[in-house]
Amino acid sequence: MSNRTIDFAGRKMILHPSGSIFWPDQATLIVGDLHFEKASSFHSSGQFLPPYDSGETLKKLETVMSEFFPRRLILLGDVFHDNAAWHRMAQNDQKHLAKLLEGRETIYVNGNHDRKVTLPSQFSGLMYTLSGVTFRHMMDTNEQGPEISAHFHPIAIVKYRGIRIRRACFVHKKNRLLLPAFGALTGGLDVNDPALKTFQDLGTQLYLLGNKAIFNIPREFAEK
Amino acid sequence: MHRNIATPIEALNLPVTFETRTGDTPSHRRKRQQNNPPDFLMTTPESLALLLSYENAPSFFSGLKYLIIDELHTFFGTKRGDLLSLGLARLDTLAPKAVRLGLSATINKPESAREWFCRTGGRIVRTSNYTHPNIEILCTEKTIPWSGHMARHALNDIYVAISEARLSLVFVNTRAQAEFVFKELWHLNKLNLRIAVHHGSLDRQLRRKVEARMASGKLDCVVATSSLDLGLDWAKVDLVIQVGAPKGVSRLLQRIGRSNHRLEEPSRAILVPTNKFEYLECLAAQSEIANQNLDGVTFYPGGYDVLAQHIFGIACSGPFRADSLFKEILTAAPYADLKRETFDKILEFVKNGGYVLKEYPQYNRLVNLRDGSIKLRDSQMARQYRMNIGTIVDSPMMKVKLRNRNLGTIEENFIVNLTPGDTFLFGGKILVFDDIVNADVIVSRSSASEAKIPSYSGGRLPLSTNLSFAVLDILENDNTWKSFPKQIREWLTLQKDRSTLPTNKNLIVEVFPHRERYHTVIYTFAGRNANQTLGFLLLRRMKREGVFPLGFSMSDYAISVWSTKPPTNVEQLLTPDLLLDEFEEWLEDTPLLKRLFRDAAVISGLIERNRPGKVKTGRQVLFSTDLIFDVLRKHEPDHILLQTVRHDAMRGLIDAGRLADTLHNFNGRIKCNWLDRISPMAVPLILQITRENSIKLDLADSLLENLENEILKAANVEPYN
Repeated sequence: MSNRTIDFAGRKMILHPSGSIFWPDQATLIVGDLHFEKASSFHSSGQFLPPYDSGETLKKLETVMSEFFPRRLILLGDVFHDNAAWHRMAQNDQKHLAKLLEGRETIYVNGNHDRKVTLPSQFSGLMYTLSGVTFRHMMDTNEQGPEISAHFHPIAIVKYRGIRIRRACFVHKKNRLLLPAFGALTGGLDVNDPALKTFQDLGTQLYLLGNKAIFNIPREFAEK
Repeated sequence: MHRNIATPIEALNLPVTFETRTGDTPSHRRKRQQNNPPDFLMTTPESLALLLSYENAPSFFSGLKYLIIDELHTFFGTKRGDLLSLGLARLDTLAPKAVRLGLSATINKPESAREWFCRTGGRIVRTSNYTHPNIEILCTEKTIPWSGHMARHALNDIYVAISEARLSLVFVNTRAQAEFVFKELWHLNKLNLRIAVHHGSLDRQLRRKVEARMASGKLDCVVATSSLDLGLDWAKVDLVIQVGAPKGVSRLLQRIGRSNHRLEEPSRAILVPTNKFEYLECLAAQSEIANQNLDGVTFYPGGYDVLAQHIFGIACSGPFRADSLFKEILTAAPYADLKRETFDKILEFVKNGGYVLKEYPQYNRLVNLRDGSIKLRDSQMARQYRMNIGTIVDSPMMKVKLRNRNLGTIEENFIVNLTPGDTFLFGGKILVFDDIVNADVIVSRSSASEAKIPSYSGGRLPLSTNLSFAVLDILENDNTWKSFPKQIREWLTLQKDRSTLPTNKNLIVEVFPHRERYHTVIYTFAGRNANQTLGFLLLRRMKREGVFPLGFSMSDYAISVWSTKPPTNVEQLLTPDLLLDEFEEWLEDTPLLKRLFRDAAVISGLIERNRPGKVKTGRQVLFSTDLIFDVLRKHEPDHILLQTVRHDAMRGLIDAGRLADTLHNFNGRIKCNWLDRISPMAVPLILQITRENSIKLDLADSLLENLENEILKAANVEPYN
């Protein structure tokens, strides 16, 4: 895997092709929008999606963690697809998750999907601050300081030599950094969507998740 | 159709009631039909399935005496046919004495049709006085182009032909052609002929209006796609013009049959080839029809996704027993060889998704009763079945709105390629794409004279085997060429002089340099789907042999692969083991499977249908079937849905059978011509715009890397390492 190190508000951050961020100075791994048990949430409506997404996401998380050995893990919201998701989760998946959290500081920032879920964690709430950086599930446009958030599942479409390539991406503009979704069954929102209008001017950089690497494309190169 | 049956009933004042029931029938009439069925009910396989899913189905159908299936041949080897066959099996249980009648004018072997349609025996009745249709190929002074499908060169002649006819139908193969031809005919319309357009993307109301005006004699010409192919029947049509190659003899007959629909009078048709190859295809079709040599019918085992839908429907009608349902299903011809084990798996799938490793019993659709029968857990679930019935899955469509008026629907894939301000043809009008609001496409009128053509994906059938052999026959008998137009004769003669004409005896391959690349052109005549598969497999094999293939283009007749180096041994490239060595690996990551999975997921009831106007965009996208496919393949590669997708792929888009036949037939009989420049027959392929550039994940990485470096270079910054 080829990571990409960027300067975020004077701090060194490593962007990983899995869609996670490692902050080496804090030994902290940041992931957002895991959406555990998304597939099974559709079963109640009679749409029996293959219920293997949680296991898939956990495996991915395990791989990233074995690369960085973080001391602290920030779960940036929508960890669970809904408030009942924990109870639907298979026992071995529950155990797997617990094992991954074991022995490190877990910061659980609640999202809009999992507001009522609690996990054994050192912190649980809507906003967390670490060394001057604010972490929220959903960005606060009034925030002036450095802020890392998730929620939007940003994706970008670029055209190169007549071929359209659609990829999830990090979005970075000055003090603001958005994570792509980490979960195995999560859709995407185009960076040109009005909901992301904060980023629709010059100076926004996109970091597209490749198979094995991260690619930096200025936002204006993303197709509308 | 309704009109054609209702008219004699009314004229003779017969004491019978006759009604139709389709997806468009208003709900109050459906309810009335439910309680008080008419003597005659005209319906579709989908509406039949719906009727069978109601609890009163046994009493509703108990008095059924006759069951008539028109255009029987359209149901063979299709998912819609699978659905119908299951409906028939059910009806057989509910009304065992009902007599089945099947009608078709275009079946080559009625015996095989009988096998599909009749449980035992069955009588074949042939009408004796068959009149040969009168088919011409358009004579034109203009040059028939090398490639393309828009018939621009022939429009003047088409206009003259329609102005001389009373009522003409201009059939085209794709919706894009329909839009183009319609608009251009209006440009030429000095006589103010009343010309209308009819295709599947137009709003239903608009289509109905065209049909009604046509029936009442208020139109002179209709430009149409296959949306008008079936079920409508007008005696007033005296000319059918087929623009573009017919692709199959039966299909062409079906269309020509529209005109002069009286048995004793021959119907009249003009074929309009849009490029040189199509001229040969039109000739072949003409001679095959003269010889009454119709296309063969291929039967396939029924789809598991359709069966899943059917089982869900049966459950909606009331409790059932697995044993007796299984027996009933075996009486449907496409499912005659179904294994009990497979049936049980499909039943499990309907119940809860059929996942081996995990389940959520609280959400099960079906529950087992103590007496051994199975029933719907909650009768409310029938709604889900009824909302998602049918086997035709359109790619996601979006409503097109001009101010507040609905103009119809258009494929999402087309719209996402537009930027506001772009123009496109729709319903004969040039529209400007303004915006997407609430998942609707908002457009305004444009004064521009040129537009981007809507490129709808539908309507592309591969050339039938029958017809491809007939084309090769024509090429072989050069004594027949003298009746051909000069430009075609010269083209063929030139090919014969410079290279070799394709033949039935050998597989002709040409290798030549062209614009710093080497082209390997293979004249398989195997149809576009088999050729596409061959292209993908050859890319793999040539890559392994180190000749650096870059891409391929294909048609129904041939394929061209281009590479930076010439291939070393062409015979070795095309050995039948191509289907063994490269196939398995390729099949697992072809994007075609994902495309098919989307359909199977909807048909089987795994996910719900996208409806026009309800298309979810952006954040609203709930889940992507591509991601579901990936997860499922990883965890349950033998899941019943993946099995059905693989079967579908083999017979349809991949057409593995036809490709295997071609490679085996020509094994050891490959003739390779090394030329110093492009051959006359290869020109259309090289000119063709639609090329397949298969994009794989690792390829995307290298493309993104190039893009990033180019951007950095432009900004005068050192590339990142």
